[in-house]
Amino acid sequence: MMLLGSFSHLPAQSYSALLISDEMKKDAHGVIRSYVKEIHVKDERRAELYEERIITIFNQKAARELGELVVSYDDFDKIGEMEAEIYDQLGNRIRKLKSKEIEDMSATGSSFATDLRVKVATLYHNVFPYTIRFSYRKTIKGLFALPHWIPQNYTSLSVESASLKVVAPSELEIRYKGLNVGEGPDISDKDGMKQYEWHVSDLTATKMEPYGPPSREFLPMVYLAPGRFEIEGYKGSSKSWKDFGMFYHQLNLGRDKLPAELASTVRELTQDLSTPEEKIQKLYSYMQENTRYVSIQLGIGGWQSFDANYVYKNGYGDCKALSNYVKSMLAAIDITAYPVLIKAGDYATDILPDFSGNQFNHAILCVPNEGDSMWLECTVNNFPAGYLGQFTADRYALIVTPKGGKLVRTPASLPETNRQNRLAKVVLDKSGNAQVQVSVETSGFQQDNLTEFIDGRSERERETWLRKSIHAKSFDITQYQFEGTKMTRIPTYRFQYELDARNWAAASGSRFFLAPNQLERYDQVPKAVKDRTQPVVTRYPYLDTDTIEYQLPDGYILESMPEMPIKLESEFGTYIANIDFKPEKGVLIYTRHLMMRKTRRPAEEYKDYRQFMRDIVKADKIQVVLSGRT
Amino acid sequence: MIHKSAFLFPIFLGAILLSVVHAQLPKTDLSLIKQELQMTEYAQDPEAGAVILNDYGEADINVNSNSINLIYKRYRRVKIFKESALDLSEHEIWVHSGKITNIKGTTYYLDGDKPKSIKLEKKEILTEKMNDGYKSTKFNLPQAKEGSVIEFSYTITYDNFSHIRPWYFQTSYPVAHSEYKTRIPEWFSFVPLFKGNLQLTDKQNIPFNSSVNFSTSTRSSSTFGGPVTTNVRNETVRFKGVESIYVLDHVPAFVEEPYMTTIYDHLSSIEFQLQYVRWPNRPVQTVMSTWEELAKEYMEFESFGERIKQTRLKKVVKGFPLADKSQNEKVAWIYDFVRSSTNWDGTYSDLAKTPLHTVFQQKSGNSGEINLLLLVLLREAGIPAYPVILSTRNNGKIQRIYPLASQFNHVVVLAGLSEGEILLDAISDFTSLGMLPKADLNGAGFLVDEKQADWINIQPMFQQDMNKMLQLKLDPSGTISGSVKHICKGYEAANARKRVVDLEKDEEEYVQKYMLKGWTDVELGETSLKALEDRNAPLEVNAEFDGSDYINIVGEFIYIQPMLNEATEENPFKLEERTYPIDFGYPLRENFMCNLTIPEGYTVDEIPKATRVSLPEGGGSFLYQVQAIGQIVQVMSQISIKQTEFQPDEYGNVKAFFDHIVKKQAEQIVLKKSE
Repeated sequence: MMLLGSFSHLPAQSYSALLISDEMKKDAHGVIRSYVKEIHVKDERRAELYEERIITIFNQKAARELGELVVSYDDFDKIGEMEAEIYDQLGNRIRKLKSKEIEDMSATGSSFATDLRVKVATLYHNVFPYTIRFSYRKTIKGLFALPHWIPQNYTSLSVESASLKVVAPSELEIRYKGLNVGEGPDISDKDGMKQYEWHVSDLTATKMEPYGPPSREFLPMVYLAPGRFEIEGYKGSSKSWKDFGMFYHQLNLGRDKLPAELASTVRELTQDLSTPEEKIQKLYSYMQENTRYVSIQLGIGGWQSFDANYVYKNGYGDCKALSNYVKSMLAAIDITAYPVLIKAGDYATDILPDFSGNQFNHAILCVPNEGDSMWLECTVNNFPAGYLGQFTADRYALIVTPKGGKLVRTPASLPETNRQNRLAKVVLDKSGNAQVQVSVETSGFQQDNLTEFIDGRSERERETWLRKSIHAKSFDITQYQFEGTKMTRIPTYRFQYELDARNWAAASGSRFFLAPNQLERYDQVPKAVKDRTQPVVTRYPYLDTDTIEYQLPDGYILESMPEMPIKLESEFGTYIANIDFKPEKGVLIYTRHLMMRKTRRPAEEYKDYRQFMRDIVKADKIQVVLSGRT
Repeated sequence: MIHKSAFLFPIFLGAILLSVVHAQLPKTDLSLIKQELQMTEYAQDPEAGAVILNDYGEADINVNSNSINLIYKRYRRVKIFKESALDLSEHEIWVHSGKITNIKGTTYYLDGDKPKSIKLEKKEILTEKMNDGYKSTKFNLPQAKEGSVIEFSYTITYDNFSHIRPWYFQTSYPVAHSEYKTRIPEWFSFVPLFKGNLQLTDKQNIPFNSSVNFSTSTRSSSTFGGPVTTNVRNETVRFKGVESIYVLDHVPAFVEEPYMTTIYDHLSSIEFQLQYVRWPNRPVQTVMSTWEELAKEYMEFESFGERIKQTRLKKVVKGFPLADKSQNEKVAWIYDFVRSSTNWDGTYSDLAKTPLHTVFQQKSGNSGEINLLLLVLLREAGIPAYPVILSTRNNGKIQRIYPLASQFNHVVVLAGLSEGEILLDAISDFTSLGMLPKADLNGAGFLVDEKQADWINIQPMFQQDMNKMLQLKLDPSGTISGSVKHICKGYEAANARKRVVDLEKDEEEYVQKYMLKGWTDVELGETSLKALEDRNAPLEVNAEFDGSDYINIVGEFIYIQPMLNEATEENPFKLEERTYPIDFGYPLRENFMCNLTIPEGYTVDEIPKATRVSLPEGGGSFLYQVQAIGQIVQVMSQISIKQTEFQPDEYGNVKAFFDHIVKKQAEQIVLKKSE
């Protein structure tokens, strides 16, 4: 059956940019004239893919963003013919890329080793508008997942016409989920093959709205997954989360045998401990002290973890291998733990819970316990057992048990969990210079983000970080101390420093100007958006509190001070600043409290969010004026 | 870059090696391992996350059975103190044509107080195909953690070589002992070049004698058509050579500082450049000769001289509308044509891999391709034009004692005007005619020509020049209304044009983001942008606005921050001292001028005093003045930094200069209600 390659290309004259309607041009840097994607699933092991994009480009920015076709592949894939052509605004072909102009590069990135590579075709022209045509074929072996379809993958891009066609043997039961693609797909049956077709047209360009929801809420896309698949002899199904989890379970069976030496170490380490929690803590920290994270993703190794012995021997492993390592040690003392597949990222978009299939990029571990499960992030060496950071907390995840997979949620995080408390003492002299002492305590996500630059770092790196993180006008650090993480369930970290600071306050003429909030200021107000359409999403819950005690120089009296306290309340958070002035002691105490929620509010509240942030920016800039005693 | 300095090897037929003296890699002293494992810091640098205990390399030009090859050996032993230094336990070796053998790795650890070790296994060594024919071999030492001592060694054999690997004594970690050994037969002459400001601890040159036995076979026939006889002749060639040892002990860690050109201008290192090859009884093959010779070679390179000569672009130039234009106008037109009609692919090169007519067609290329295209188009239009090769700031300063092509990574064009000449670089979208991008401002370039090759001084012809002018009126409620104007000249204009284009030419957004940054309560009125497209004119942006951010009214007083949001808030120089010079690249100038009309019924109670500070020897100046003239308060701030490079001993002055600016600009104006 010749299904591939039988599509109709646009007739040449429709490459002409002159035919584009005004509506398609509005807010657009480029227009997808036609985007055809066809996936022909041959059997459980193999699929063929063809993609052709015809894009008219209006300006330099689009030329850079869209003038490049990047096709990734690994040991399971093979790229067939790749074509790239360029047409002038009348639709006349100017040139076609020669095959030797297509670059082939390693795409290892931050991993130590992967088999991922990319082929890159780049086309440029400088007389706008012009049109480019890209196409390629790819054979995918090992059908663990199918590529998703996102035709409007760049904002400021409109789409005249785009289609996705999937052809697969009926018994493979292709799974799909369309988002913002209307009804569909059109399904037809023929000779035991099922064909699914989606089509979108006349999509106008969108503008990204700041603090908006994930793009899948408003851009058309189709998620695909094979119902049944086979990869290197391992059969699997993504018909349900249960099935999909079962595949991962089976792929990783029998990789938990401990070398005898380690088995006895595990027993020794835990024999005197009474509760499972203590034992988990012990073995988790043993893993942290003796291994490090090294990403190696080669072939099936992208999904099958290295066994416990490998990690023991080498002292390193990737997320799967390290999770499996801890799981294996726990198993040796009869504590059951399960691997958990998750989509990690500090601000990652959650997976679609109602679409079973691979949406994951990371693995952690869970020791289930009714209502108080222990979650273990095995790639981080300074987390306490049971704590998940911003990278994996508060989202869906697939727990993999011998009975199959089950979708669960990782623990949510509250602003109070992610704290930063600061206490400072500032002794000012007459010229505005100051001796400053600051002590800081952070917890939860705020401590993750901090200790990343401190734990396991050299003194030089720590000092460099500290110097960069202080935003005083001009200063020397006279003393500092990092105290280390307290390994409570929610970790906390303390440090303190002292500064010899210049121009902390401005002394000019007979007056002394002091902006009391100098440790941290908000200075960015979210951009104004005309006719906001998308809901407002804030993603990072936290709570900051500052107390700064000033010892003022002698010989001044208060001339002016803004009205205090300043209290701001909104659905997004709370802000309170206050000044307590004790003239008899020459002491001024400034306090600031800022709590921000993780929340989602309707579009019309964007203006409230801006107002709230604007009020904070203003409140953070308040000043006190002292004048010479008369 | 083999084409640039390749040389020929003689053919040794069945040579039998008589004596090869292989130097031995350092042996790990196991009696010291325990002590090393117990170290908790490196006494000479307690702030370091690791210390490289022994960094050893050796480059041996080895006379071999049928060829000559370069054998490079490497050994390194490291003590890890902190997890962040575990990057040292991952090692990656990139080679193009060399063969890597004998990779060994060991991690030492303490078991109780007994030193133990674990070896790197062969199967954990991975090799990956990279781009442009490179292969990367990587390994990760097992069980490496805080406290470990790790070591590795390997050998790379090059059958073809044109240079000896450079050696970096200095790394981002301190090195207790760094040693590089070269073993070079007399047939090769290499010139060593030291960089950085550290002195070698030890240097030795030890002559050696060696010999090699050739068996050369000649086939000959005594009579025409007669029987062929084969004569085998054994010949012993004796040769001398020098083994050189370069040692640097207690090498401090290299810590990068802001406002530097490239670390490679400062890292302590040694490079070797091949000067000539002289085989017995053969003429000398010169690799590095003179700058004049190098210019000639460039003109013979296929990807340079040949590209310029064979252009097929005559017709194209005939189609250009140049007929009524003066020479200067022609230069400007062609420069602008190339600049706007080609896309720089982001890579630098002094050569054109692709023929220029293809570059013209593709409208995209590396820096060499685009600028040689410019050169050729200028020449076709009858303009005298010459290529000037240079090394960009990131590529490091040119060493004038080495007439070598490998030092260069970029080429610009020197074009003749009706009077004088001008340097052009067409890869930049936003610079004006004759303004070289900052990357090019690296001191000098070399004009390549068969007859008049010469050094060209490359000095910044423009400064980064920003002028801000405000006309404002303050009403008694605390609202300021008026206009702001930015006139951007020189490099500032190029930067501003880029910013405008990056914002899709959205004027309002530009004003909000770059001119009224920090204003939270601001109403924007009319905005206008002048000369966005004309790269040779100053860029002017105007905006009208109302706002209240920088005014505080409390009781009878109004406090005004004179510079509004334009004050320098933080000293950009945070380090207490510097080891390396500050390099700004070009002079900087920032002028701020504001006329503020104060409301009726208020008088000026206090204004900041005028000040003027200068850097020594006219290096820079700061002038600040606030004066009240009737109901108008005039604020003027002028910062000018003329000197582009400041040595470490001048750092204190620069830091204090900025401290002064920050302090002065923070002072406020106080208005008081009249009684």
